[in-house]
This record gives sequence, C-alpha cells and structure tokens, in this order.
Amino acid sequence: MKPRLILLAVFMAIAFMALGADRTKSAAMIERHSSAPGAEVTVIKGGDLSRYGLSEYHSLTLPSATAATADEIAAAVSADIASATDREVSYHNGRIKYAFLTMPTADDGLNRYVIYVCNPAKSGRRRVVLIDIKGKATARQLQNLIKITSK
Amino acid sequence: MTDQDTHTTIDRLTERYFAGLTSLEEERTLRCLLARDGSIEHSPQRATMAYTAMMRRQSSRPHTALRRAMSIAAATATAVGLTYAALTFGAADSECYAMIDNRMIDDRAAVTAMVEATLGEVAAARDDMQASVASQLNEINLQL
Repeated sequence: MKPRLILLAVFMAIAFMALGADRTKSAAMIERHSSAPGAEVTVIKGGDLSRYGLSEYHSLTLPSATAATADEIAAAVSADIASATDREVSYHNGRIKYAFLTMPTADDGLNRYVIYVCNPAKSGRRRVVLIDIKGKATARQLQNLIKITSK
Repeated sequence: MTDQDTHTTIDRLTERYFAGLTSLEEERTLRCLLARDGSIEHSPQRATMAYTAMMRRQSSRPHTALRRAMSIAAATATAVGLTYAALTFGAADSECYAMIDNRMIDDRAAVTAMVEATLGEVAAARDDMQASVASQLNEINLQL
C-alpha cells in the first residue's frame, strides 16, 4: 500500500510543479492581488475571444496601488521580461511604465502574452494594469486588436 | 515428543492427508515433522509433500504477479485521473465575468466595456512609447 501512496504523491507533485511552471510570474500576481481593495479583475475564456484568435484573457487593474504593491508587481513583470522571447518595454524614472511581452509558448502550444502599464495616481500611489493573454494570435495581431478595440 | 511418537503422528497424519481429511494446521504439522524426521521410511511422504509445496508455490506465483501488476495499474490510473481532475478543475469551456472590489459582474456588455477601457490604457501607453521613440529618432536625425 505504501509504495502506491508514494507513487501517487510523486505523480501529483510532478503535475502541480508542471502546472506552476506553465504560468507566468505576472499571472501569479493577478491572482495574488485580485481581492485587493479597489481591484478590478476581468476573466474571459473561450466564447467571443476565439473570433480574435484568443482563448484566455485575464486582467487586473489596481487604480490606487501602494508603492509596495506596485513594486511587487513590477518585480514579477521584470522576471517575465527576463524570460520573454520578445519584448517591448519602456521605463520612466527607472520604473517600468509599459511592457508588452511575448512569453514562451504555453504547454498547450498557445502563444502567451503579458501586458503591463503603470501610471502615477493620486497621493503618491500608482495605477497598475496587468494582463495575461493566451491564444493563437501573433503579437502583431494582438497589437492591432488593441489598437482597434481602444478606438 | 519421542521418535516413536513422531513416527506414529506422521503415519496418522499421512493417512488423513491422503484421505483428504487433514486441516491446514495438520498439514503444517505434517510438513514440519517430515522435515525434522530424517528416516528413509518416510521418504515417499516427504517427496510428496515437497512436490505439492513446490506446485503450490509455482501456481501462486503468477497469481501474485498478476495482482501486483493490476494494483500498480489501478494506482497509476487513479493518479492519472486525479491529476487530470486537478489540472482541469475550474477550467470551464467559456467564462466571461469581472470582479470590481470583490463584487461580481457577469453582464457581458459591462465586461466588454471594461476590457475596452483597459485596452485603451494599453494603447495609450504604447502610443506614448512610440511617440517617445519617434521623438528620439527625430533628435538623432537632426544631429546627422
């Protein structure tokens, strides 16, 4: 009985490690701060997204993040910048202001993107937008979609 | 137990054994006594017991191996099933909702408006970056 339990435990541990490895650091931040005061979280999977070649859209907006929270998120984005296969990043006063990252392909073969925007807010706080997107769409297609959608 | 008693017991148990009347305990006793007793007189019984013991072991071996293989297969199937369930837990085919300050919004139009606003911020930040790059390139161009 014991060896079977050990086998089961090892199998589960490997699976959970694999599950964790497939996620970006930014995706973990979205989950971590999704219940923060004032947080706006959007989750869209399947449905209409497939028309744009996307399968998952997960975003977090913190309208008034404390410096500590903003720095924690920026650190996660920095880690993703390091592992990104393609990046478009701008800095302001030594801080990341905008990042569009193409991450390594997910386990299911889909493209994965991380988008980050940080702007100053009132009382020394910061407005943070963090998006984790997955789908077949290329980076160019996604950038065009952002341009069209925002108009 | 004297040698005579041992012989008597062996004879009695052998008779019962071949008549198919021995209990498992009696068969065990008979085997033990035959193993201890080295007399030639009981060699045929010893050979018979050794042969049946060997056959029992041989017939039980594949059964044990099959059971072990089946239990490993069952454990693996359970592990695969649980892992799949864990990986796909909560992964619905289609979802569309927003949470504002822990308050859920599942109105598709409202969620779409939120996405458009968020992407608008992204587009504005990207435009800023591109304007900045264009400005820098323009400055370089003026220096040339």
